[in-house]
Amino acid sequence: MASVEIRGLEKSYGSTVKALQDIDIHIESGSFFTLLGPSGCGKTTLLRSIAGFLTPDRGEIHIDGQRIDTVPAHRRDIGMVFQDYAIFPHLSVADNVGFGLKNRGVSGQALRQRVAEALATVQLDAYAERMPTALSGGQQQRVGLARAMVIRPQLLLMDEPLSNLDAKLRLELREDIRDIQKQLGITTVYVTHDQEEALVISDRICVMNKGVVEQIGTPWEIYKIPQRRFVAGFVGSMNFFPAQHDSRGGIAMFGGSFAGPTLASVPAAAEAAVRPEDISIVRPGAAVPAGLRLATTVAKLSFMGREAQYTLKAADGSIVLVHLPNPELSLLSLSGHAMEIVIPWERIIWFDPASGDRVGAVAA
Amino acid sequence: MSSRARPGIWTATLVVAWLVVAVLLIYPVITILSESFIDNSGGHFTLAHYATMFTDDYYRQALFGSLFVGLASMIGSLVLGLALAFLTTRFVIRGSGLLSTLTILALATPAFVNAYAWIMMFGANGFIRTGLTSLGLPAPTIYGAGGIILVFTFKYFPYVYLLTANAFAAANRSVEEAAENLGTPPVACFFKVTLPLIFPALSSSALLTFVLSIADYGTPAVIGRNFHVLATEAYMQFSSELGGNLGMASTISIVLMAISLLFVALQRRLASRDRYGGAMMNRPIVKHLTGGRWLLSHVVCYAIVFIATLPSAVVVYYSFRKTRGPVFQPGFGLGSYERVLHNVSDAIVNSLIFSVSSVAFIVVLGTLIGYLLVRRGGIFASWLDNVLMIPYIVPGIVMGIGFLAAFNQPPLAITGTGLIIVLVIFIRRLPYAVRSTAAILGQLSRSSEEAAISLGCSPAQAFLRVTLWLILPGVFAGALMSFVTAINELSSSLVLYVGSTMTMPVRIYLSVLDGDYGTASALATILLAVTAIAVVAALKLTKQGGRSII
Repeated sequence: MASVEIRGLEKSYGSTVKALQDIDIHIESGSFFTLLGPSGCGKTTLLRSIAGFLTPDRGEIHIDGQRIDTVPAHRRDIGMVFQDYAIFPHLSVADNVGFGLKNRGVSGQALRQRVAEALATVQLDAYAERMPTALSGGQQQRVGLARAMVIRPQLLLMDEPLSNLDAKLRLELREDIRDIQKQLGITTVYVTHDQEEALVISDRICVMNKGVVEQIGTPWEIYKIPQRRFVAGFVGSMNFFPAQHDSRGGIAMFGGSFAGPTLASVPAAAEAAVRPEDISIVRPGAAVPAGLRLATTVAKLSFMGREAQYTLKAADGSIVLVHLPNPELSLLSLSGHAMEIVIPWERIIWFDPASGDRVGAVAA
Repeated sequence: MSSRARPGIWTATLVVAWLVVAVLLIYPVITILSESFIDNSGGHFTLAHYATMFTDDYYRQALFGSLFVGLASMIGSLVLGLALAFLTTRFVIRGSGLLSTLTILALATPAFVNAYAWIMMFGANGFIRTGLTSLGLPAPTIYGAGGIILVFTFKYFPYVYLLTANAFAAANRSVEEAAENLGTPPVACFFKVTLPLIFPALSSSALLTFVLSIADYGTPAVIGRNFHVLATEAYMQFSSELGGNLGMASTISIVLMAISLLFVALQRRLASRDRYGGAMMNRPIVKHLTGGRWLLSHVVCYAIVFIATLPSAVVVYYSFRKTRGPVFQPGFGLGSYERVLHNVSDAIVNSLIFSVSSVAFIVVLGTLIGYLLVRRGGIFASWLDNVLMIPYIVPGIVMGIGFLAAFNQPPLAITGTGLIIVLVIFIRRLPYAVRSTAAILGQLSRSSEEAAISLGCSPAQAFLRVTLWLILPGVFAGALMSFVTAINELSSSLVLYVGSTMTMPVRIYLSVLDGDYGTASALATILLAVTAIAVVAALKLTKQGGRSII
């Protein structure tokens, strides 16, 4: 268990590609910390810098106050789980798991005991003497997990460990990784491009894009109160609408004028972001929440099981996505029909389109 | 990408590799290049050799001879190799495993031994020819361009087979199905879709057969009679009893290399456009044929492999024939073997010592350099990679001449020693070992090694405990194949040998020239046996079939 402190980390490839720019991150001891972002955002570069497989150009990495970026990779005491499992094919499952322990001078009964415990933790007790080629991908990754955690490293790194597995196994192993991490309390840095995975598994998420940190926060904060336009767009689905103050003191949106909140610190234009599930459909007889009322027509309707997605078109041509949970059958045959919707003002998150930063709204 | 490993073993490897390459490769080639511009008497700069080369009818004929033989053998090898590869990968051919092994074995023997076996069959007194003539059938002798092309075609088609069989087996079936679905008949589909799909393998094997055909010295020397090619001409100019013409020999060598280089460049240009990759793989179905088609496909496959194996069989057969002096007698006996053991056992011992020592150097340095190229990179490594292409285009005879010209005075006066033969084999084969290690490593994810490091191994330990284990079978197979090429090597040792450093191929060659066919057959059979054991062992070690052998 250890906390991690990353300060001013930079890494460039060639003279043009900046893989990491001025990264500052604090990771609390025992927490599950996820680096989330699209491919090429720098998350893997950052992970490999922590592991010691890459040398950053500038900056420092500290574990529990000790600087480690100058320490060779094999002396950092960091466990790692790889995307392609990286199981040693010439060693049995037990020998794979015992590999790091032997390097640490553990032998005999103690070695056997710890290997057995680790295999039990990942539910592979019965496979100790098998060769890895006889195992499925999911089992191989369990071996990878056992091998990395059995050395009780200060820090455990996972580089997209689930991305080579099929969907069902992915969900299963995801839960197991989460449980084992909580049980052992090893500080863990996890890399993924899958936002749902990140939300489920993490204590804190660091969203990265183009080599910079966009936002660090709990899954709730990342999803519900994104501080950057990129985060709002990358995590979950999101509607974006241009908006601005008009001369009468209202907000100009969808080609009309609405009496809404006053936007602080955005003089001219803003961008309104709202989640599809936060928009309500006006139905006869049902209570209508307060907010921006808008007349639309249904352009497309997709039934997705637990919810339906409406693609609506406003009079000015704006496209609005709305998710309706538990849709009734009668609501699924409305293509081409008119539909009125309400966007609650308090559910709108405002961004400055120039900087991409969130701007506060003062209630109307 | 660099790791935090301090400069240690890998920097040292890079320095050693560059030293080796500079002394054993760049220096001899530069020596030949400069000799080609220096006139033989005064040591002045001159273009006279090149002028002679391109104006004198004698040399121009050799030039055209090389091109003709090279292109014709290339076409012949392509036809045979493609036919065998296509039939065995797309249809069920009984005994195709045996066919494959025999084909690879045919690759491993020296070409000039095949040439000599063909002479035993179709030469002036060849047993098949005399048989045909006695029946009153017309039977021309095999000497000249036709014989050379025949030998090369059946000698080098296995390269085409090995390279394209892999490509045929790996071509995405869906692409062919899409073509058929769009209304392309099967034959048109083969030429319009399948062949273009395997073009990279096809063109690189074509290049290989061409370069090897124009580089070979032994075959045209044995079977060519009055038909001259550049390789024989270079040796003749060099070793002429009227005092060698080093300038002219060097000029011919440079022209020979220039032609190879030109073809390499051409192939790279053509093939670079056509790299079809894709993760989505749908392997072709191997179909069962019936009736006439079944028979025809089997006849074609077995005929090709039978003719390719025939020369070796003839050599083995003659090695057990009774002889009196150089003349074969009716009946069988072990006389030839007795004479071999009595008179030329030193050639066997030399061959084994030279081959094993050069392979030891090749394996160690080849593995380290291969690793360096794939896992470390950097400007010095990538240039090393480029420079290591040189041996592919330098014929053995040329490398031999270069070594002799470069290492005949202090401080590197090693001419006439066994060391010079070991070194010439080493440098000629080193790039193949580097390539094969690099290829194996390229398929290997580096994460296994990183996993070992994250578990506490130093980079050197990680290499020894994990990476080396994973590449070991491939390295062993590569070492065995290096041994096979080393022990069968004729042309550069022919230039470099002295009485005490005689090798088996040189002894066989000289025996053939002397007409001592008994000794030649027995020695060639011993060579065949050693080669066959090594090849079969290599095949057992590698699951990729013959692919890693090239």
